[in-house]
Parts: sequence; C-alpha cells; structure tokens
Amino acid sequence: MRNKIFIFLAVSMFCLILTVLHAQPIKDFEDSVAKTVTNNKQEIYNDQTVIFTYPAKWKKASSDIYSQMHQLLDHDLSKINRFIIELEVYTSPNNEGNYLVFDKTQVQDSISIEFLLSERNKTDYDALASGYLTKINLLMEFP
Amino acid sequence: MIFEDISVKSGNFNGRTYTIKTVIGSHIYEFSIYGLDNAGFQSDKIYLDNIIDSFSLN
Repeated sequence: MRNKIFIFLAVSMFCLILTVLHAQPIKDFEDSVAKTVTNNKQEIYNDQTVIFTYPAKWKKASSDIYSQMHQLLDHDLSKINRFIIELEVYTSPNNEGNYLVFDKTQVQDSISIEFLLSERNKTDYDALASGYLTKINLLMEFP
Repeated sequence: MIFEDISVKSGNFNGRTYTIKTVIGSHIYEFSIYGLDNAGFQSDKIYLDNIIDSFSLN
C-alpha cells in the first residue's frame, strides 16, 4: 500500500510542480528524432510497437518540467520494479497549465489488464482514504 | 484498456487527471491529460479522446 501511495503522491507532486512552473516561459528541448512525422494538423508517434497521433499544436514541455517528472516517476516506480523507458510531455495550446503526458513503463513480471485495474482500484481507494484524492469520476475497463 | 478520471486537491490546487492505460507484453502504455483546474481540463479532454481513437498496434 505504501508504494502505491508513493506513486499517487508522485502524480500529485507533479501536478503541484506544474502549478508552480506553468507560468514560466516554455522552451523546447531537443526533439526525440525519427519517431515523429509532421503533417499540418497531426504529429504521428511510432515506436515500432504502437502508433498514435496527437495535435501538432501541442508543444513539448520545458526541460525543467520534463526532468522533474522523469525523476519523480523513476524514483517511485523503481520501488515496485517498474521503470520508465519512454516519457513525452506536451503543453496544451489552449492553456499552458494543461499537459498531455505519454509514458511507457517496463514491468518485471507480466501483468494482466485486470491486475492493473485492481491495482488502480486499491490505489485510488487508499488515496481517497488518505485525502490526496477528492473524487473518482471514472475508473473502468473498456475492451 | 483502462480509463481513469480523478480529481485531486492539494493545498490551493484543484486538479483533474484523465488517463488511459493498457498493457502490451511487458510494457504499460499510459496517456494522461493533467488539468490545473476543472475548466481547463474540460477544454483539453477531447484531445485524449482523439488519441484513443488513433491508437493502434504496429
């Protein structure tokens, strides 16, 4: 339970960091070449395993925000033998305080989607009880 | 695929996070929209829905 609370706290801390940093000027950091192809409206992410598109107007977050989030996730996920191998953070064109985050995590032992849902259920329940989470608006599995 | 939408309050911060997660092999893929307030969150949530629609295996 403690590890799961740590992970939830990491997310909450990230949100707080964003609160502090989002007013700072955004500067692009070096692009992770070759994985994105630009057209006029969409960026295409392709890592040989998955493909998805995201709005071309979303810009990469500042290196400060990126590195702080990476450190938080590395620190907390390592406690449960999970490791970040990909992290992308983009800022919204509508509101620099809003972020799109994509991450790819390596797990040591294979897990099922049912296990992941059960894990989130427990984590959210513990976080609600601890007061870090105020409301679960939705938690569901969709096939 | 798991959908999770939670509201968080910490100090003066009232944030909202919408996340989708899926497991493929030994990897967890996760997409999240972090909004610093509910109004901001609502304006950008549509982008995550579009990403979900475009998501596919290679």
